[in-house]
Amino acid sequence: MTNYYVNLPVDNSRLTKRLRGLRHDTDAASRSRRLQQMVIDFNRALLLWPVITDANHQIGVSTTGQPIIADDGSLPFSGRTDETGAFFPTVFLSSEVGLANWPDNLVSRIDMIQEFQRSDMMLGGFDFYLADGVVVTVAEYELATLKLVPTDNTNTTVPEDEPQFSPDAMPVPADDLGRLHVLQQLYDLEIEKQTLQA
Amino acid sequence: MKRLFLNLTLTNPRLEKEIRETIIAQSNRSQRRERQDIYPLLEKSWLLAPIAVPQSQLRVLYSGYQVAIGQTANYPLSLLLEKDGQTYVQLYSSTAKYEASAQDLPTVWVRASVIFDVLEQTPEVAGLLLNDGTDELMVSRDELQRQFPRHELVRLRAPWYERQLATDFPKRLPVPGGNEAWQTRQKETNQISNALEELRAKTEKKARRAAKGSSLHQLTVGLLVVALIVLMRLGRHALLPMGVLLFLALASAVYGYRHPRGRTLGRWLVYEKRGGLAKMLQLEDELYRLSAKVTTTKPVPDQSETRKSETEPEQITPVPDQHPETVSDEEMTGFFTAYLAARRERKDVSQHYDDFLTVARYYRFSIPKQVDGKLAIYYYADQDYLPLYIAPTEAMAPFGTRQVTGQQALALVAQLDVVGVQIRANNQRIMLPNDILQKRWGEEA
Repeated sequence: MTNYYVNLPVDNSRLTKRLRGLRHDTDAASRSRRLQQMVIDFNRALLLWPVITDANHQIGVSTTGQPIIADDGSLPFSGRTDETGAFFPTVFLSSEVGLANWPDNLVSRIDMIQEFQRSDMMLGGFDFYLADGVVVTVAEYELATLKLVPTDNTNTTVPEDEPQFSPDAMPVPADDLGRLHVLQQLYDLEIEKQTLQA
Repeated sequence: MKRLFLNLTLTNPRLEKEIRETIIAQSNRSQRRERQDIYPLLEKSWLLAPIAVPQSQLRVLYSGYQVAIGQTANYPLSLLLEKDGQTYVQLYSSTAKYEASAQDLPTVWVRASVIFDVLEQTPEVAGLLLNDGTDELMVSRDELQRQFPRHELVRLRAPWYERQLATDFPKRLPVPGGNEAWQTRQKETNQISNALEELRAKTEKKARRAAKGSSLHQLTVGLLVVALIVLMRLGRHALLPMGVLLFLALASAVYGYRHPRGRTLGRWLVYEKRGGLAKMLQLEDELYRLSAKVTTTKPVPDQSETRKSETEPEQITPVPDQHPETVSDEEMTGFFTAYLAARRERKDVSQHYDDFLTVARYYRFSIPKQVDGKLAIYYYADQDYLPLYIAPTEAMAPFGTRQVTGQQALALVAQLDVVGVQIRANNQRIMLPNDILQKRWGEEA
């Protein structure tokens, strides 16, 4: 079980630019050459994975107030399935695109791709969502030819010493959570107002 | 994948004033000329339309906004309304008016031009019905077409969701006091908290009453006592009717008995039913999710299982039935998927694993080549593997392949100094380290 931060501000402008360039390469040779040139950008990248929250996988709040989610190995991810049954997980490269498209995005470094590769699922590749609706698909067998080792400063897992969920976490349906947060804010504001008036 | 904001509060005071005046003008016969002022307003205003979004696609953002996710463009507006035997397009001028109509679908903001999409698609529509249930205003099809000439509508005729998504809706989480929508939103949440407060007061009152005990229970206990007294007075003459009364009182006393937690037996049965319903809805939701095929889990295989089957006492490897050199692609894929399927279902994999590795020893795998003709190396993190494909497609090996059997692959692994092989088919892969290969495909096996 690993805890990841959710919806961290992320911006991979260099990788985004290079992936955008990949669209124009149609022959395999130039595609693989261009991908090889992107290895360093991949290693430095922080990726946003749209996750589907359910009863067992809910967004928690760390003690520092950051939203986090626990990956227990069966965390559902969003993506598409092609006609052969192969799955293509969605990957956002910047939080701007991510937040505009999906409410909850797990932030991880590039080793999440290897987590996918290690699984038994039929993994076709990865759909990288760039800005203005451009989607660049990189097949899994193309990524497998790259030696991807994330750099140290890109760790987005929640440190061990930080308790994962606030202690009074109650089993609240995910849909109600947002509303409750708003209510709590209102309550706090009301208290503040009363103290100011007094 | 888009996010479509739902149930945003809409107010339209000017339009509503105009609607009321138009209604008055229509009912007032002395007024000769019909009021025309509403039409330019109608063209400019936002209106509310109910939209049918599957439950599983609804989300609530941390800001409290409700959104629909996924292919929002495909969710149909629920515009048609049967009224007095005729079909109308229904739209609402404000959130208050929509709530008064007692419909429970979520709403989106639309422009009046959606009416014309519907008018074109469904010829039986009689016209527009604004604010069903409150200030109802009907505009006939003919009147609509006269008031809104086709050429003037062209600039408004993009699909409704594009219009909505392109307009002034918050792309980011809202800033307090930043825009009008936020302020109305605040009012709305205030209302919710007030309602919650009321609800809490009500439940407290109920709880207090429950502590005193159910009135039905008290009544029946009283009846029981009276019945007993009468029975004792009259003796055996009244045995039968009093017995029946006694039984009834006893039964209703049990039924009306209120548990300290505030539930009568009868209530409890209803709760159970509701629980069942909730469960059913949940299942339905799950089914929808499965059929929509947008989700998947990412189960990590239990590596210990692979290891475990390795440490088990080595059995005598069964010789495949047919001549080993003639293992076909289909057979090999079959063994491959059978092993992976067993592993995924966490069943006993040792038999599948044995079969798979035995057959693989003689199967002719394809190793893709690189641009320069050398054999391709695949990486898992920083570990290098030799890829062994079962029937690769053209795209997977664009620069040709080299065919090797499992046994030959073993020699290549040593020569290339890689940590193992990745056997690949069907977009799936099995990684095998050197020591396992040596044991299974080596000379002594």
